[in-house]
Amino acid sequence: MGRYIVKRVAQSVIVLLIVTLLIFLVMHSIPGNPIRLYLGDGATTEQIEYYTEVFGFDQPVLVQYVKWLRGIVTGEWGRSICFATDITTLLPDRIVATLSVTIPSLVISVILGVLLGIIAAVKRNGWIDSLVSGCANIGMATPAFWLAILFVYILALKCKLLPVQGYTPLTEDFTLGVRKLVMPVLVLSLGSIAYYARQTRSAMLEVINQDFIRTARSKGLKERTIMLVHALHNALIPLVTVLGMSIGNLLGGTVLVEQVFCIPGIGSLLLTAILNVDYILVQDIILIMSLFALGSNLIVDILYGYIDPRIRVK
Amino acid sequence: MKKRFLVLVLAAAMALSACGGEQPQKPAEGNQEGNPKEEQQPPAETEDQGQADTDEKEPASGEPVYGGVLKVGSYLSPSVLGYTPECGSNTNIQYLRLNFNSLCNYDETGALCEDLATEWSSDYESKTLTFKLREGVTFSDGTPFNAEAVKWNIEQYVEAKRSETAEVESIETPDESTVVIHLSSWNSSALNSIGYMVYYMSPTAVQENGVEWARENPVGTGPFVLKEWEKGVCISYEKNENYFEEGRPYLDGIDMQIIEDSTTLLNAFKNREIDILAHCDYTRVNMELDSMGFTKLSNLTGIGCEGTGLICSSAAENSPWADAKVRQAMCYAVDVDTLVEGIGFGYQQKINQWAVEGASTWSPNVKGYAYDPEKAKALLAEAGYGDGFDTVLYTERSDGYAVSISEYLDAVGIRAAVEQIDDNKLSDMMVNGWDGLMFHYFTITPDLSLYMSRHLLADGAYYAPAILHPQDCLDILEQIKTAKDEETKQQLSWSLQEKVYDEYALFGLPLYTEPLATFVYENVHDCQWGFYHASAWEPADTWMDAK
Repeated sequence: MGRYIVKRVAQSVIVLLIVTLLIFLVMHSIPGNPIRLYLGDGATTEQIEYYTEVFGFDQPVLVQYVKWLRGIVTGEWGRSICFATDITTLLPDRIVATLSVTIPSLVISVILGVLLGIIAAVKRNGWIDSLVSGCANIGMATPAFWLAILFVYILALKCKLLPVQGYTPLTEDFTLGVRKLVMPVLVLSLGSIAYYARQTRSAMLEVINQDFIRTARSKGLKERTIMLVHALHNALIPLVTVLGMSIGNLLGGTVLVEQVFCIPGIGSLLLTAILNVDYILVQDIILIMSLFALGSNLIVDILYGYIDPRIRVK
Repeated sequence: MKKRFLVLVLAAAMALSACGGEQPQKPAEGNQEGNPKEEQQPPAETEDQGQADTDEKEPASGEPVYGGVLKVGSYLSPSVLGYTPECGSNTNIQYLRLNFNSLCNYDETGALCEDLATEWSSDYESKTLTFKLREGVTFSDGTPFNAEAVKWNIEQYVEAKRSETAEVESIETPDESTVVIHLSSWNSSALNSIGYMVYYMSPTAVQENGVEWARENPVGTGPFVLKEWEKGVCISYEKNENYFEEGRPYLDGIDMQIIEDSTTLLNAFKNREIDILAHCDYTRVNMELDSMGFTKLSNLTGIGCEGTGLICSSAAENSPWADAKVRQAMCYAVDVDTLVEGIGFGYQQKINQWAVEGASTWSPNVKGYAYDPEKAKALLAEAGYGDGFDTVLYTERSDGYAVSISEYLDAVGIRAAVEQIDDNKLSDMMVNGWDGLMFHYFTITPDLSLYMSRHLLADGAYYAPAILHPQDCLDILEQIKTAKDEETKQQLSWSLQEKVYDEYALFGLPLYTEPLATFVYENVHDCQWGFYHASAWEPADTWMDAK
């Protein structure tokens, strides 16, 4: 197992390097000049030349890339142009804000989604199954932005139950923080619940029809034990795959929700950075997201081995 | 089971009915100007009517009330707050005026008025500007604002290569409250640009802590001091107890909330999470809030507003656009009145030059281009393009302008394919050139040469690489710059407008300007948002009564 992990980590480092190079080249090939955006409409040619030199954009692209990589290793992540500050001071709060939305959403989605999926599978072809499957289809087909608009209209503007927008750290004001998180978490969760429910249902149905389940029944085991211990355990592999992808998306999958609810997370930061052609900031954020995705994939791969020992043997 | 289900349904129904019982807050019928649909109200009337309005609500006093934290929502996020030479864009002005002052401000006529300077003069012969400074002013760190501070600040602007101070050669400080600025060559714009565009930081604070620190820590003479800056999220200010105007500011603090999404900004305002919705340039938001009767404040002078037009790449010799007749044909082919009325929903004001009607730089002699497709066809035939030609119209816009213009042009034989681009591509084309047509954006100021030169000069920062630079236009530009007095400057500005728009159609077809609207709740008074400069306001004068 140790060798396997080392091999996977080495692969991840190579993937990471390729990702950084690609994003670096893409960012430097798109049109737009960050210095002009920084200085505004009134900028003169002299001013632009002066600040291009100050920010080091007059150097060859390859030199800039190597400098950036060296900075990442030494802990100097560079300077954001559109925020005119060190990126290391910007990122921590933004990551916390994003995780404040995505982690509750993931927990809710997994618990409810898996539960509904199991119920639908157990009550296959019954009215509960139809209800869960129907809701799941609607949930998956409903665009998140539409849900966001609907929630804002009903819960904030009409009922005045929740604030329209904003983010307050839970450590600062717990009640207000929670009130501001309710709508974004709901919007993020509903689609995921539907997805988990569908995945769980189909995985469970596949397992339920296998011989060992019939054997378990013929041994006289209780239905609950059969479902939760034998069937669910064997249906976990596809669920863990989906979970791994969700964890990988924890930092990057919330751009829209952050934008609509004005949450100062990593997604909205990335959007601002792209719109302002803030090269270094985009590169740093993509690097963090890639690290997160690769890390979660690695964990999932390791988990496979524990869930199904046959994978380890192979 | 059924009982439990019934209980749940009843509970849900009760909860919903409780929610529905509370009505959303409606805006008041009146407002700070005493008129629910008022726009472009002169400040004198504003104050009087505001007083009358307040009297009705608060018969006891009607005087400005102290206290309260004003919440302002804006989509504009500044990069730098404290090192003013790097705060060049209009985005920064609304923030700058919280912490800083300039030597002069603009009044309702667009003329300079007192701020940190009480008197000023310019001398063409000796190429000098002299400012007499207000006495007894201190920076928020307690250090004095004096002539040396002014000198040091202007030197920072010169070092940062700001165009406003490009001609500054040396600065004299004969006494504590007098500054004499010597220019290397006379520039008639210098008084305006140095008077309004230079904001004064505490030299001590910047020198002791460095520029990097100063970018995030504004120390000026303004009515408020920075409390907290969460970048891209919120900027909180608190009252400057050392502010030089006695009895001001009225507010305890101001929270500037940055909300980039227009719908979220609108909803936050409707839900009263913010008291002011600043700089609303979204027609949809404008229409909705207008229809709901919210107080709307608009610009009075056109200063700082953005003009929009249609510009063609005239620099390429082989391009049809190199011929002035083709450019004029394009102008005659488009029915601007119908477009502005149909797409602008009454929020846009048609323009025919680089100015708004009534401004000092607005030339009454500019004829413009009335819609005349036959004349357009004739001009094209004269230019040798009787069968028309193919071109591209680049647009980053999502409204109907590009498609409608393309159809108008097609009707006279100019087959303009609409190509959608993003903002970054637009920015790139503005700087490095394009081939065909694109939208022209320009800032309207009381000083034509200051901003037009950025487009008209061969080494101008915007649009310059793709357009012609006729020598006679450049000569007039130079004459404006060196004009001896305001009257000469105005006459020259007028003739430049005529040359650029009527004779050469160099910047193509001017379309419209849209004054940025700001919406406020009825309990917010005297903020004067955008009155004299589209991006500026008066935080020191702003006060709030109970909601």
